[in-house]
Amino acid sequence: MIGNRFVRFAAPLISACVALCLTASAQNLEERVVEHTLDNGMKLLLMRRAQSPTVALHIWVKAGSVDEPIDRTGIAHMLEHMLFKGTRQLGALNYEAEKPLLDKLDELHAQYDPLKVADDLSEEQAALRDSLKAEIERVQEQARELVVPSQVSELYEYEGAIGLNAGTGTDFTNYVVSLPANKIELWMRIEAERMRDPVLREFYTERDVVMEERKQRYEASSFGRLSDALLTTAFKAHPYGTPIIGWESDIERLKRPEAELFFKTYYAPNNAVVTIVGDIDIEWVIERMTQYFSDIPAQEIPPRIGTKEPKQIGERRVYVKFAAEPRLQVAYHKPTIPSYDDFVFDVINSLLTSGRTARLYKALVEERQVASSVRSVNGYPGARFPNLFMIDIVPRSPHTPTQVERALYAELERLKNEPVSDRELQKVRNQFQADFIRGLNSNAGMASQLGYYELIAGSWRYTQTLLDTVNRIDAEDIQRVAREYLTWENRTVAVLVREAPAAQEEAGK
Amino acid sequence: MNRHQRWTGARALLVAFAGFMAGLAHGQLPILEGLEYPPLNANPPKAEKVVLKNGMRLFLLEDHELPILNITAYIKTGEIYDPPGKTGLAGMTAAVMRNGGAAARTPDEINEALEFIAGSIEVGMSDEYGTASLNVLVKDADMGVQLFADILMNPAFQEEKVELQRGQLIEAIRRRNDSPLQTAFREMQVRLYGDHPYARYSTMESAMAIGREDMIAFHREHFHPEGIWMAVSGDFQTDDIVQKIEKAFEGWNPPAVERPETPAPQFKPGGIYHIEKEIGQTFIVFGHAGIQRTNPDWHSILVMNDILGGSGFSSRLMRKIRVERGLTYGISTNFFRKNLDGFFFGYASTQHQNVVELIELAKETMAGMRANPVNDLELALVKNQNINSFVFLYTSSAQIAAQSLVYQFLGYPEEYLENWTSNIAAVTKESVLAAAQKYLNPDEMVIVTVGQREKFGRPLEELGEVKEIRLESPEK
Repeated sequence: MIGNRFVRFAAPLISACVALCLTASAQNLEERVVEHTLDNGMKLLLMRRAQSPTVALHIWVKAGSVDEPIDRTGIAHMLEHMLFKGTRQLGALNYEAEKPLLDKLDELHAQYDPLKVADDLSEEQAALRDSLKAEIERVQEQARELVVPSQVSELYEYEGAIGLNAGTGTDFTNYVVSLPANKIELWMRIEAERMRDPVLREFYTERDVVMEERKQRYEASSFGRLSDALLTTAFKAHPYGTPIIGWESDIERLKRPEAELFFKTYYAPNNAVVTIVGDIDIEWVIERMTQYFSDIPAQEIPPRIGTKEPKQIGERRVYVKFAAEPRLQVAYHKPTIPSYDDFVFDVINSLLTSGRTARLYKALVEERQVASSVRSVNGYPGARFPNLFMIDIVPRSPHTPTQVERALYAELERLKNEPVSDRELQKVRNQFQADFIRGLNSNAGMASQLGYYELIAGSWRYTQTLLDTVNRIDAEDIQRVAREYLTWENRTVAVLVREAPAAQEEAGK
Repeated sequence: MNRHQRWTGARALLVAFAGFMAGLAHGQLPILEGLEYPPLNANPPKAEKVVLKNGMRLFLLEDHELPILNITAYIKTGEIYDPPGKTGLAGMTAAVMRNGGAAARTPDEINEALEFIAGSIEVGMSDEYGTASLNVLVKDADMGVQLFADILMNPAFQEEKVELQRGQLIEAIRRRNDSPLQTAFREMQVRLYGDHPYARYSTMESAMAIGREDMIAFHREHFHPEGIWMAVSGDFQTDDIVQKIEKAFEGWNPPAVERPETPAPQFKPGGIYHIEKEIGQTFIVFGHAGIQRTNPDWHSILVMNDILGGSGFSSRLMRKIRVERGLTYGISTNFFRKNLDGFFFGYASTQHQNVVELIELAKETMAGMRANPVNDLELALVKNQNINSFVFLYTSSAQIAAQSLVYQFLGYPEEYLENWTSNIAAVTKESVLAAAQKYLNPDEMVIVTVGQREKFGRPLEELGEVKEIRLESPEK
């Protein structure tokens, strides 16, 4: 999963609401969400929705790819995979016998990994590499005899779990599942155990899986390739420029003790938010959560990264050669929550691409017909730190990315030069209200929304702040923000091409 | 009130199977000691069925939690009815119904009206049916239902929007090989079905051959109240909303339609196909002849497929190929049921080096399903998963309303959901083995690889004769 903002950028609009019903529903949320903090600092957000006897159970940890050491990129995501491998008792037949084998594998890989990726090995080195590989396979085989594979997921699946998953973003990692509501206690026992006592077994095989995931998501996908290029170009200092999955040369060197260290550093109860939405008895849940989780000690979380992306002082442009039809992404640096301008960008985002009456859809897809689709994201690739407003366009042949860019900039100029009409602004406000109502319609959606905003914005009440602020934003705000940020100096352009563009080729000659 | 009493309901859908854990875990798990589940009584509300005078069927469910109205209509039509030489007509008709104006309203007027109240209407087309949906705030129900009815009954197919949609279709054709998985999947179906409607796809020629008159005719021949079933849910009084819908569709009484029979598919023999593409990984899709929606062995087939490759991390393919060997991020298999014979398929992607190894492992695993009975643990896991997760089919009123019509609409056996739990419970090791032997055919598959063949660790020919597929350039 890539770090997106869930609710604000979800799906096309579904329903609407006027001020009156909005107030009623918002009050409703204020009454329905119960906040409770365990003594060890673990925050619980609980909401009863008894539409069906099911429950969504989420754990959000404030540790994402931005929190990784600079030469161990991918460790947050690798750890997310590893936490499905069990604990001393889950997934294990005999941990005492298994432990020395796991340690041995760490030692063997410390010797083998550099040889595996090295060029120009001497004959002796090559022989050493091959014997290490054979030894690794032998020990791995022994260790596998002591493992109950995939036991964590099987325990859940047996009981009827759906949506069992985890995701790593730039800003956070989450672990999510939905269960029939009578099985909550199973979840508590497994999750407390995972947080207390994980064993990162089968680490090096899983590292191969992650390398395959990297190839699939980033190297075999036009969107993956292009986004990767956009972010590495837009960010020169801040880790938002680093792919969430990590650099290939980092992933292939990752070691189990490094993942354990990342776990010990960040997976503390006081660095996590638990959201439970569904057919629950709130008091009972608090009582049992206290029973299962409160003996996990709080710990000090190290200072977060302080590097700030320096102000961009001129357009940056990057081309990606890939076997697919052209595609274009344009992004602008901007501040994040709780900056007022971030809210203004939420409105701009909606004005530009939300629905068939949105400006970019109308201008590029319907009128000029230079694009077959256009979408935009505010808060890319994350929102704990200053981020990007990103526009992603699929050009329509025979129009070139250059022509599409021109049409895009003409629309962005309109934002700067003409005040938005009252009706258009009101439409956007209605749409935000609709998103809010729509969000209340699903346990998993609510659990995500509460967890995300609690972690990123510091409070789940941000949803209300967003609605209030959007109602205050006026035409002048939009013009000011467009003029300040949507500039040549501040933009990064990434273009996917099959062949080198002619002009570039000439310049290279 | 304790938590045991909260799920009061007449019908107990689910019972927890205590005591299984120890077996699953190959030993006692201390953290599960003393864990007991209270009974889960689910009593989902039932949708009410009303047939309008013009034959349209409504399945209604009141839900007063949120002030919204949802309608999802299932429509008897489909891409299989595309006339020869005009593949893409059904999809274009649906798109231009939504985007081309309706009754007295221009496309812009419809969009402005709808989006100002943050409502939505969509019309979609898949192979064997069409859909249309309306979502509005319930205070806007009158306007929403009226627009919805106009779009379904009286689409204007404005010429300009027909051309826009043609342009969009052509762009989609140009881009159809951008995604290697999509390419492999399409080519697998084409090699399997030949020119049967189940595997037809639009070309530049067919896109150019479709005209506004074709759409008008397609709409007239396929959108008929007798072929429209609607799931209606939300914050309304049932009588009121029925009246509104009845009134909005009043007077729509087109002559009855006759839909042409689709011929039975004649499956082509298996074979290995490669498509060369410069990408970082090779995508593999394999498939063979499958089953109809009415297949009486379905529950055994489902359990068999879940054990093979249909169920998350625990399936045999995931375990052998991902968990133990690290060869892929994901591999899965499925039976795609259709009205006539559907197909079985599986897919994965892996680094070029390991393609042949992965295909061999997949075929071996399929052969293993046919050779020996599954073990008790696998069987228990998959059966319980299917029984215990059943409750998630009933989590929202929109879902319940749609559920109450869709199985019947699509021609699944009678009482499909009602008998779900008992049918899954009746699956045995013997019936799973029989299903594997009857419905899995690893030696007669169409296998398509998309990637860089010269980087394969072992030649693809080791698996048999390889035919190279050359993709048309997008300019053609």
